[in-house]
Amino acid sequence: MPTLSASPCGSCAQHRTQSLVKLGLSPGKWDYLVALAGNPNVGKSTVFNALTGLRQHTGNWPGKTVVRAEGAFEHEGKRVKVVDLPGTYSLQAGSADEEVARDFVLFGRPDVTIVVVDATRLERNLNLVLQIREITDRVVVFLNLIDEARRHGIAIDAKKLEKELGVPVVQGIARESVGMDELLDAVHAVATGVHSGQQIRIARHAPRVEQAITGLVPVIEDVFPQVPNPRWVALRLLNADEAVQEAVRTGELGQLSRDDTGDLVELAPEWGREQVLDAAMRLRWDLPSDFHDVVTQRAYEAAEEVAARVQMGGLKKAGFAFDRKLDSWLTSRIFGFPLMLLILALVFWITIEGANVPSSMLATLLVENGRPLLHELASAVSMPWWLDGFLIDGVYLATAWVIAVMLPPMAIFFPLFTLLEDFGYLPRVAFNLDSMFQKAGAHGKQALTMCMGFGCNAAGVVATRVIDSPRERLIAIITNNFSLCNGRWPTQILIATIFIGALAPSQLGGLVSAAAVVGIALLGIVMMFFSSWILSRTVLRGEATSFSLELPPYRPPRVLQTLYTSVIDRTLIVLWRAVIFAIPAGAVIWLISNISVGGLTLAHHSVAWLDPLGLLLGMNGVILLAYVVAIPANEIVIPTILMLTVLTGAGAGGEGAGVMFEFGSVGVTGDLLRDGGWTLLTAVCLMLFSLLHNPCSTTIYTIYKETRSAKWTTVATLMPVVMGVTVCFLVTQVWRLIAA
Amino acid sequence: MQLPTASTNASEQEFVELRLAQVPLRQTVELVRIDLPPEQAEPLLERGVLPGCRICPVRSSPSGDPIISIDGSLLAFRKETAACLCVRLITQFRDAG
Repeated sequence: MPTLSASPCGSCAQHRTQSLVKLGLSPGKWDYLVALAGNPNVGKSTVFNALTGLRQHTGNWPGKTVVRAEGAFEHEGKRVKVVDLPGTYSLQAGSADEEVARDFVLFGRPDVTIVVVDATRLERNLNLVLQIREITDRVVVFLNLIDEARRHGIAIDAKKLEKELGVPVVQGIARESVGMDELLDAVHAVATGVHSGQQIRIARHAPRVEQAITGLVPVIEDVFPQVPNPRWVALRLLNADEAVQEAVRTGELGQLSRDDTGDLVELAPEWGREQVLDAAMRLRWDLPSDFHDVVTQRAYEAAEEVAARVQMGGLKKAGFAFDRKLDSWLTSRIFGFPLMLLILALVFWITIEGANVPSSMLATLLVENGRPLLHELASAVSMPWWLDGFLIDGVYLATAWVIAVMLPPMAIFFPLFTLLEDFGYLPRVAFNLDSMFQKAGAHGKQALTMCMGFGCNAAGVVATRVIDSPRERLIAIITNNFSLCNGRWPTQILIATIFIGALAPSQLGGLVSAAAVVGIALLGIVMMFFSSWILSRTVLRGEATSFSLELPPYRPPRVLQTLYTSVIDRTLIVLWRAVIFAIPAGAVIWLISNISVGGLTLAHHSVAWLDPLGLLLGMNGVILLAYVVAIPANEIVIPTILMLTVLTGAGAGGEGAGVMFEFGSVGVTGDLLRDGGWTLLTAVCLMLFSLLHNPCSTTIYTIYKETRSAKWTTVATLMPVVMGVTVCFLVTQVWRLIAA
Repeated sequence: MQLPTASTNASEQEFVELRLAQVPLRQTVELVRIDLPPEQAEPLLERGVLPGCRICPVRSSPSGDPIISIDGSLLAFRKETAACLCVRLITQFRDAG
């Protein structure tokens, strides 16, 4: 916002901006370490991006950042490493992502901690600021979203707040890079010691509590000399904070705090650790029984008092009629679900309609024209047939198909989805779906991880860290695969267009295909509820814990930025991954279709062997073989099926001719598949099986990393396959009964 | 968790305590107490749901879960949670006192 950044000394501001060198990732060596902390959804990642020039994914919903991201910049000749932490309401970590934030602030020894504060909810945010102030003096408070605060009729006296907290307070709007120069200066001042935080102790504990703390601190200092904040640890131990007790018991408390050389400090002796816990337990006996409540209450009162002193009220409030009106539709009893489906259908319809033309253009360019051209080139340099076939008909063709099939839908779908995310729609979806998750014994935030799964299941599995109950988190991990991921969208969209959209008159084709894809996505959600329900009634027995979800205000999506980041980051990264997996898969397909055993190629043998099973499931051997070849990545299922169908269906496998392709558009693809014996049933079963089968290799690995359990990884891998086989078998038998 | 009530004047004891789940939409009330075990009350406190604060149910979801407005932000609860929030009506009488 120009009104704010136009400082009287224009040249000065310019100069400072120039002195910021965005270094992006991994600085190697740095002069100081800065942590970004704050409540969820206050714009930490936006500040992080503004400082480092990185494009860490941002979105308008709480819990988006679950792991810490690192970046760097150079300012006034100093290299600064920045760590973006997951949002947390307090330092009493509940969930895995909050623990990351707490541990880093506590034991990571950042030189400066920037606490990003939502100016519209000062009171609640100050609670965390005060907690961090208790631990360290090296804090800078960044008052973000002051434009939104103004709309709410809130103005904050930053100078007064600075006095109250004893640390620099900078106002700004991170989305528009307002206030970044001032923030950099403040960070610099604190890091170099120019501005030394004043020792202020927010006196807020009763004398008896203070006495207990003073009694415990020397014991802690004795055993863990490296711990930077024994007072805080003492209070947490008196409060019987299980995480801190555990950190003391295992000695992790000492390990997390590194000494100045960066080496791990020696593990504290076991007797010492026991001594700390014993002392804490003894002192706790003397405290009043409602001690915990009193301490909590006092903490919130302190935040409330500070907020009341620095907020200037009486300003004119802007109307929030639009937000309220929109919410009354989007979360309505009657319209909530239909609107959700409609929005989803609209996104698919735009994707299907929009992707059709560029897809066939790419296919024409890369497959129809590119391949013969490469063959000509190869024969010009007299390449041996097997190398020519291996490289062009195997490796190149698989890659070309992946690009032609995947790039257009992704380039349309991702930006649309990101716009919805930026706008603030995802928490409303979570809210609408919560009651069903609750009935299934699952956590309401599973709806958010489900939405992440629509992008990528591996990302969805990591996102489950926002769920604090281990039981419910495990359910969310195991069932995330029922969210159709971007590797499977193209399959669904293509098959729906060819076989289901074609049933309708041509004007309605796109709509019918979109409806079919929405149907499959919905079935996935139903299966997610169903399997969550089964799990929480059997092996993961338990009741849903209470939960509350904040609905952030709607924010106008930043269209250009969204387009840029979602095309560059998400689309190209996913495409690159697909290509990486397509290259070896293409090679394998060419090899199995050109190595003959007993007169028939390996591919023919495998297809013939898998055919009976495939037919039982309404599909065929080609599809099953394609799924085996495509275990590394779902993205390449369709290209693999196409290549194998041509090969086996046309019976033109041998003689080193490789795989034949003479088509470019969706219509011709359909003809080809029909020639290969495909019916509507094949298409339906393929769509079902594409929804219900094992996760891709990346997701399986991620599940193992997150659960650290071979058992649950196996369950998560096999359960969907069993379901898929069952569903496809039943559909096929019923279908055949009706048809007969 | 039994946090101390915001103010405990004898004259106010006559007010009937309600559960948030019983409060009609758009009726602003004052939170008295959260009847939940500490580990479930803590997340609410962290989000600014504190005894003494004013809350107003603004919407309810397709399944009857409330959305409340508190301190300018919107929070979604489950019905079961709303049933554990003890509230009282804010009347003109009390404001005058």
